Amino acid sequence: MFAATPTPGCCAYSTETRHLIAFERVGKTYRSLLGRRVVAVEDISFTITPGEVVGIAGPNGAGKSTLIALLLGLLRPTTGNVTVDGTQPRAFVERRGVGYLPELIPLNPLWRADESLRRFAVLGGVPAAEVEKRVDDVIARVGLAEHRRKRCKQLSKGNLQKVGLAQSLLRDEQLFVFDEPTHGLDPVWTERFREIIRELRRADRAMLVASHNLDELERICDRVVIIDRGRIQRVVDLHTASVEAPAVAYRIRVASGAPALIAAFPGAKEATRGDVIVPPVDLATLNKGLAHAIAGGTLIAGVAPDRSALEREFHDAVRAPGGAA
Amino acid sequence: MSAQRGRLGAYALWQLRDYMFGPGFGTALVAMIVLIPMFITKSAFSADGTSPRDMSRMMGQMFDQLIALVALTGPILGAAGIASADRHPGLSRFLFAKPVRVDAYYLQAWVVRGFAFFAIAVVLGLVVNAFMVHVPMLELLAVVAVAWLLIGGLGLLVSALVPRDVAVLFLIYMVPVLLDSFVDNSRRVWWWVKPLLTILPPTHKLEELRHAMLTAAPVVAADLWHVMLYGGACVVLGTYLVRRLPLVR
Repeated sequence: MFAATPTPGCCAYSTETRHLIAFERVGKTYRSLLGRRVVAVEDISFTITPGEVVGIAGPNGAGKSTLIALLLGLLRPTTGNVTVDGTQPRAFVERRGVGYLPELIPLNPLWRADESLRRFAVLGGVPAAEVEKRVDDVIARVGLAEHRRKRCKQLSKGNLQKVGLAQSLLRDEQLFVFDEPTHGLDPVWTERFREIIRELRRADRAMLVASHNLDELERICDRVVIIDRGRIQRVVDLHTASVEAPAVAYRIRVASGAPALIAAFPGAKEATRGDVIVPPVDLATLNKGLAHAIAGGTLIAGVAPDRSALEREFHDAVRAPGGAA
Repeated sequence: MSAQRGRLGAYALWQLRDYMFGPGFGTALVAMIVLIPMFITKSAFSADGTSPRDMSRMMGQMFDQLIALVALTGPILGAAGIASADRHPGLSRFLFAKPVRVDAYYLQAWVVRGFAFFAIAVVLGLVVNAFMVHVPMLELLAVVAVAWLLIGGLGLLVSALVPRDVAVLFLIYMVPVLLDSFVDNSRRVWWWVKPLLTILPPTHKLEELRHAMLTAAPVVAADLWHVMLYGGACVVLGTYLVRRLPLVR
């Protein structure tokens, strides 16, 4: 269960904790040559402390990529202030660098995979004597060994994504930013990415992960900032358990005895063979109903919320009036 | 925790490589394409017994046209896209997540490309000197340097500002040249043409400067200063703007 902070537009901004990243009432408006204004993000405030892995979720066009561009100093905010370790983002990046994986990997199609990594290692300040070893290490880490001599145009989408991921891991960074990190990766490498995030976790390091994949965010993040229409809709703390969770629907897999289970929960119905959907109930009602069903001969194979807590929060957040969902 | 600064100086070799496999190759190709008719003409003159003086005059004229073309296409190919080609597809997101200054990165790229362009001009001059006609190498380098400073500087500035900078740069080069020819050839000149020419990039002065330098004629110092200061200002402004303007589009 999760605790959400449904405070659109503004989150508590504490000055007591040392923040690595601070967005303070940040807004970004694009203006066309004809004067047309497009508000990309508005009144964004949140902080990230060292040691945290924070997710950003939102529908297409919600403003995730703009937030990341502001964080890296690739764009300047129209209003408000972004700081990284107390300095302007560009100054931080120029001094310390950031492990950044963009959403798209627009490397020169003629560059070879290992050549690209060598370039970024040199640009990233890896000492000349260590470049080859560091490149070999990241290639092994992301499983690119057999493709290292291929040109970028010859790589599959997933392998190109691995090159992007590998270049972000070349240096021992204090801040990592991953934008749609598992885009194009197969399930095995999606899981491997999660392992990499776990390996990278460190008390003095922060990570920001923007993704459409709520399941992925739920597995790797401490908090998830849900944005929609350029504003923060809520911040979900994935660690804060609550036994007073709202009533939720459950998907119960039965090995046998589905009718007894359906009888125990009014409104329950068999969705697919062996899968019963129970309408929203609280935990006490769920457990009582399960006990009845088991006593009536139901053999239960699994119980899970029909939607994860983050999914519920996300759908509630973006369903608000005028929302996208 | 890493606080290593980027090794931008070492990255110059990659920037050089990018130039040589891209715009540098194009520039060398243009030079070679023009060298071929020079070779053919030289052979034809040798065969029909043209006097060495006439041959030297003809070859000198051809070389003047060759260097005019190289001094135009080299800086346009070399400087256009210097920043915009990274920004448009999003490569700048990779480059500038590393601990390097954006302005230093592009200024270095501009200097590296300039030196590589010089190297192409040196090779070209040596080939022409060895097989065709004597050309003064220092003067040749001066011509190339002035062209790179003005057109290359404009290229850096335009590349910082707009995505399709090759076309814009060519237009910016051509407008003063056309207006100047209009002033030269027309009896009646609209009143605004001359003041406009003092504001626009002095690309129309490059031809006269090139001709004077290569023929050891007196160079109009005011024109040379105008061209160099204008080019230098473009480099400074372009370097400032690549840092100041958004790095992504």
